[in-house]
Order: sequence, then C-alpha cells, then structure tokens
Amino acid sequence: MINYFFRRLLLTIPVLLGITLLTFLVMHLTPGSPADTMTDMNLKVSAQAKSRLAELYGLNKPLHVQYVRWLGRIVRLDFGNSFRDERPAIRKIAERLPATLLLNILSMGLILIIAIPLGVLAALYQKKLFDTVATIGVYIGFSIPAFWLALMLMILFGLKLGWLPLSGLHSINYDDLSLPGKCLDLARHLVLPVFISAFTGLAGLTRYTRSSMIDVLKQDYIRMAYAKGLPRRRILFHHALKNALLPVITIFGLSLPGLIGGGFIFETIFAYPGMGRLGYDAIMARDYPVVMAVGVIVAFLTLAGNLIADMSYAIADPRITLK
Amino acid sequence: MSIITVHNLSVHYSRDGEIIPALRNISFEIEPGETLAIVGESGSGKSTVALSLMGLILPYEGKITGGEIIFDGRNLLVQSQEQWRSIRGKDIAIVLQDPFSSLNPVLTAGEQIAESVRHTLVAGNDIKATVLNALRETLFTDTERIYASYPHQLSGGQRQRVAIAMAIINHPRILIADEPTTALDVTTQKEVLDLLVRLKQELSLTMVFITHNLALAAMRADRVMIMREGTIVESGPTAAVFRHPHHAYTQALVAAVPRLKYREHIK
Amino acid sequence: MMRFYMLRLLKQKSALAGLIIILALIGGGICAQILSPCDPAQQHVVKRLQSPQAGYLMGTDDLGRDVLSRMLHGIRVSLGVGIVAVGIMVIIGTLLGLTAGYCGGLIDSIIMRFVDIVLCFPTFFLILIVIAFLEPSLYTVMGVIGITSWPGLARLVRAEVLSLRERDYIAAAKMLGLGRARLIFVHILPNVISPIIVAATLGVGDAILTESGLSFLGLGVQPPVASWGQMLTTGKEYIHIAWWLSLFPGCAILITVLAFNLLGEGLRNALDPKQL
Repeated sequence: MINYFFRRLLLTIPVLLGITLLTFLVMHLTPGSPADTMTDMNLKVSAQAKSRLAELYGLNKPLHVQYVRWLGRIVRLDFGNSFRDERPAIRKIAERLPATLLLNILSMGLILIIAIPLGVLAALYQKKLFDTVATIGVYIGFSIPAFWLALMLMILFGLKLGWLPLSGLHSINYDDLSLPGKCLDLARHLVLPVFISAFTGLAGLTRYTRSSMIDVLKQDYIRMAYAKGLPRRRILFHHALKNALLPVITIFGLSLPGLIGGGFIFETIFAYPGMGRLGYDAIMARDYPVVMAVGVIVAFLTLAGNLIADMSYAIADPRITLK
Repeated sequence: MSIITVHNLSVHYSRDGEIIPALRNISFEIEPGETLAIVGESGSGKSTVALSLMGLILPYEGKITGGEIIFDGRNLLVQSQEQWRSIRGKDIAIVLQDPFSSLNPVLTAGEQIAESVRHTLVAGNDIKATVLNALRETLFTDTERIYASYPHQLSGGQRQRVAIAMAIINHPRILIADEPTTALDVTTQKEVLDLLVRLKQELSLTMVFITHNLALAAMRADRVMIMREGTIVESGPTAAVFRHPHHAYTQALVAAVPRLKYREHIK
Repeated sequence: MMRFYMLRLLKQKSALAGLIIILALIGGGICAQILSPCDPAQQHVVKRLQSPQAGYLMGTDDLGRDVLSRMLHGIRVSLGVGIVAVGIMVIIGTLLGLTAGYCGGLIDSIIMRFVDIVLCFPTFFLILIVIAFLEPSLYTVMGVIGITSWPGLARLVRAEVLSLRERDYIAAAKMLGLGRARLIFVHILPNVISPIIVAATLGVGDAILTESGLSFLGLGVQPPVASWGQMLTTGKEYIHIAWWLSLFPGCAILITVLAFNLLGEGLRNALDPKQL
C-alpha cells in the first residue's frame, strides 16, 4: 500500500515538470509573448518593464537556460512580481486562493450530495419518468452557458427580487458585522456562484453514477444477494452502491480542472475575488508573472486532486490494495 | 407428497422491447430428499427454472407470466416480496454458475457468508463461529484466512466452495445448483461435485442440479428432466430415461454420452 | 448494419429531438441569407432597442440591427466553429491515441504523459492565454479550441486500441504478416470508430459553448460577424432595458449545445452493444 502511494507520487514528478515546461513554452512561443512585448506598443509593458523582464527571464539567454533559471525560482515559489502593482505574484495568488477553494469545495460538495442520489435513483427508475426528467435536467445544466445563467440569475435575484447581493464575496460593511452576521453575509454572496458552479458541473457525475449503477445491478453478485434473502435496501446500498461508486471516485478527480476552469468567466461576472478572475485579469493585462503563476498553481492543484482521487480509489478497492 | 409443485409455469424475457418466451407452460414436481437433474442446452430454459423457483427473475430481465409454484402448500407467485425474502436463503438456496461473478468483489468472503445468517440468528449467537463452521463444512481447513479474504484472493474452486458455504449455512431444505462446475477446471469440478453430493447426504437436502452434461446428471441424479426451447421434453427416473428414451431429442442426447460412464452407472 | 444502428438511435426520443434540432439549425444556417428579414449588419439608428414586434420578431439591438437576422447568421459561426474545431480534435486525438495504443512502450509513455500534463490545465485557461496573445478571429478560435481539446479523445482511443490488441483476430492478422498501416487502418480503426463518433458529437457542443464564452469576453469572433456569444455581451449592457438581447442568444446556445449532447448520448446508447 505504502509502496503503491510512493510509486504513484514518483510518477507525478515528470508531470509536474511537464506542467512547468508547458506553461513556459506556451508563454514564450506564442506570438506576443514576453520576448515580443518589449517591442510592442503596449504602454503597460514599456521600457520600464523591459529591464525587469530581461532580468526575470534572462531573455538574452537561450530558451532552455531561461527555463532552467525560471524553474529554479519557482521551486522556491518565486514567480516574480506582478507588472501591474509590483507585488509578488505568489502573494496575489495566496490572497485569492482561499476564495477559490471555498467556492470549489462548496460546489463539489453540493455536486456529490445531488449527483450520487440522482444517479442512483435514475438507475433504479431506468427509462421511467424520473430518469428522463433527471437526464434532461442535468444535460440542461451541462449545456447552459454558465456566464449567461449567472447573468440571468443576478438580474432575477439581485435586481428584480433584491434577495441576494450582486457581486463580490463581502458587503462593504463586512468588517462591522458580528460573527453570525459575517457568516450570513458570506453565505448570501456565495449562494449564486456555488449554485451555478454545481448546476453546470452536475452532468458528468450524475450520468456516470447512473451507468455505473446500472452495470452493477446486472451483476451476478447482486442476484446472489437477493438469493440470500437480503432486504432490498441492504442490497442497493451495501452491495451495489459500494461497487458503483468505485469508478466514480476517479471521474470526480478528473472533473476537477473543469470546476476550477469554469471559474474563469463567471468569477469575472460575479466580481468574485478568486483565482479565475485573477488569471483572467492578468491575461488581459499581459501580466506574465501572474499568468504563469496562476497556470502552474492551478495545474498543481488539479494534479493534487487527481492524486487524492487515485489514492482514495486504492484504499476503497480491495483488489488494488494488496497488489 | 412433493416438496415443490410447479404448475403451468410461463416466463417471458424482454429485450429491446421484444418479448422472448423462456418457459412455456411447464409443470413438474420435486420429491423431498431426491436429486433432480434438469438437463438441456443453453437457451433451453433450465436456468430460468432455477431463477423462477427463487423469484429471482429481475424486473429488467423479464417476468413470470403465468402458472403457480406451490411450496409448503402456498403458491409462491402470489406472495409479497417480504414473504419471498423469508424463504430465500433459508428454505431454498442457490449456487450460481460462475463463482468469479457471483461473489461481490468489495466484500470479504466472511462478510458475504455472514449476511446470510445475520437476520436469522437469535442475538447472542456468535455469527462468526457459525460462518467458520460453514466453511469447515465446505472442506476449508484454513477457515480464518478464507473468512478474511476478498474473492480475488481465492481460486475458482475456493470461490465456489465459499458460494456453497453461503448457500448451506442456514441448512435449507432445497439447494439449487445452477451449473456449479461449468466455470471451473476439470480437477476442481470433481472436487466441487463430490462436496455437493456429500452435503446433500449430511444435511439431507433436496437438490436440483442443473447441467448441460447428461453424463454428469446420470451419475448423480435420481430423476432427470430434459428441457428444450422452454418445454420439458421428457422426464423420469434416471435409469429408465437412459434405457428407454422416448423422445428423439433424448435419444440423441443419450447416444452422445460416452459408453463407459453410462455402463458404470447402470451397474 | 447502418440501418440497425439508425433504428436504435431514432427509437430514443431525446436523441431524435436532438437530431431534429441539429438538422433544423443546419438548414437555418445554410439558408440564413434567404430566411433573414434584414441584412444582419445593417444599422438603423432610429430603430435602436426596439422590443420584439411585427417586422422585428426578436427586436433590434443597440445599433438598430435586426436580432432575428443576426441570430440566423450566428448559427453559421456556432456550427462552423463546432465542426471545424472538432475536426481538428478528432484528427489529432485519433492519430495520437492510435499511435500510443499500437506502438506501446516509450512512445506510448511519452504521449500519455503529455496527455496527463495537458489535462491538468483547465482547457479554458489555455485557450484564453493563446487567444489573448493572438489576433482574435473566427479561424483562431476554431484552431485553438481544436488543438486544446484532443487529450481526452486520445486517451479514449488508446484504451480502445489496447483492449483490441489483445483480441485473437488482431494477433492472427499480425501473424499473417499484414503491414502495419493496413493493420491499423483496416482492422483497428473501424473498431474504435464508435467512441470517436460519440466523443465528436459531444465535442461539438463543448466547442460551441467555449466559442460563446470567448466571444462574450470579446476574444472570439470579431464584429461585424454576428455570433451568439458576442450578442450576449451587448445584451449584458442593456439587460435592464432590453431583455430580448440576452434571452434569445442565450437560449439559442443552450438549445444547440443541448441538442448535440442529447444526440451524443443517444449515439452512445445506440452504438454500445451492452445498452438497451
């Protein structure tokens, strides 16, 4: 078991390196990348930035030397300073990360709570009305442009009904509020983003749980469980669900980048102070250090999520454990 | 007085919205203490008989469309699910064909056997001791290790013996063995068959033995029932069916049985 | 055989609905010129922000352009981007997946590690970076979506090839001394085609969604070409006074993407021997 985890960890090292290399290459080989920007007319990246850039990337050196130097810096979490406000990129990310994690953990939790029962029920009532309605429902979520839904719900609940705040994570008077007041304020700001993130991300897990459950219910060991005279509830939850949820763990890990990535547009719409908006703003402002930092950190987080999913799978499935 | 009477049983499977008849109006009886062999090729409906006797035709597969199955004076087909449950695993138990798919991969052998007794034992009785005892009855020596093993850690023969332990732990009155050796290799086949024959005697079970192998049936059954395309072609005491097969299909089957084994049995 | 799968597909009501919607969209896109009541780019400053009415069934936008005509022309952009991007995705994904699965060994390891790496990045982030630094245009959008969306498909194709490689008939074909190319294209490719068809259909929906997001951010198709995502940008600004500017393009995207997803799901069921 320990051995398995260790091997799995070792395997992530080339992927980690690859992530940094890909980020580096995308930034340096795309036309309009740091190297070109120096001759660009873009005022934001002017002569002043030029020297900083040259210093940061060693732009006069060959590409591989630049990469190794950059890698040496980011190992110490030094992503350089933002072009816009001179602050270290990693500090800016550290400020935004909690908000993004909060949003994603809440919406992942909501997805799990809704998708698994929905998928199981759809499997049990296969081709019945419930199944059809659930299927169409999750597909609408999957097909709806998140930014449009965000816009519509903001108008409805924020403007027309006035029930929820329009944007951000805190109200202006947040600091004056009592602790329960702060929690309530936070919750009111989170309702729409979490709901939209969960609704648009529901489809994959629900459909997967459904088909996994349908497969399992056809297995001989389920028939055997009936033959033992077990109650239906025990057969469904103890025998079927345990097997059906095993592959779901992996799928959940794979859906992570979608969740985090989905934030890029609607964090912007909600003016939500997360990584997605930071990344978007940085890209628009050609703030290279921040863009690269966001790319690397988001990819690392995804990798970590996949790793956790793989390991949970190894723990949950006895067939892997003892190999 | 028969232990089970099946009367005009019909079963349909449905697939792609199409209805496929699996059993057409079949009637037969099972006498207490006997071994009845149901013989037929695949698709003949022999396994459907086994599943019908336990009410195990799942709704997505098909349904029993008519007839009755009388057990203990009650028609099983008009019972509630609750009543069905009280019979399954206690009065009638089954061993399925493929031990690689009939055990749940994520539960240990011990857990799976224990489930069979959990609801029948009076509190205070040691469930684990009962399970270990059942494993001993199915000829395991290292019962503790088997108890804690997951199915993938066991060989095919061991799995099938675990499945048998699961079936006999409540000392059922009827044991249905649905091709219990087909998925096993030849040496293990004999081991499992001998075990079943021994358990039948020790626990004085009534046994329904389902097979496509007439020679196997001839050696171990008191009566045979030949099935084809969802109907019973012929049935009777084993020796009689062998000596004077009436139906052309049975004659062909008997002719195909290797001489030596057949003679051995008749002596 | 084709008939058999067609029947299995059409038996599913949701897939049939998806197919009908897609066919209607294709028809609408082709005949956009004829069906449009006005020139989609023609501005009537005096008729700005007219609500839906006879003559302007979906109202007019901030420059007095007919929304219905722009919607019809928008079909071309959405379907065009979806189909071209998916074409690129299918070519790259299939080739790399086939190569990895068939060759195995070091080549397989390299390709699959690369897939792992790309999959760690949210696709939308990669697309944003590339597009932001290139000239945004219809073709950039098609290309960038195509070249960032193939890793999932490559993984799928590789898994199929691996399971096929173990089959006896492939081994037999190998022993008969069939050429490598013949083996791959005649014996392996036809057997992995169904998951590719399904992934491609679902991919069109994804690509349309991505395009609308990019256009909404102003990084997609540039004016005066009409695109639904870009219409939503205008809609956002006038959302308090002109609901029709947001409602129609949003619904159009939703229905189009939904249609491709339902058709994809239906195809999956129809082509999968285990289902139904």
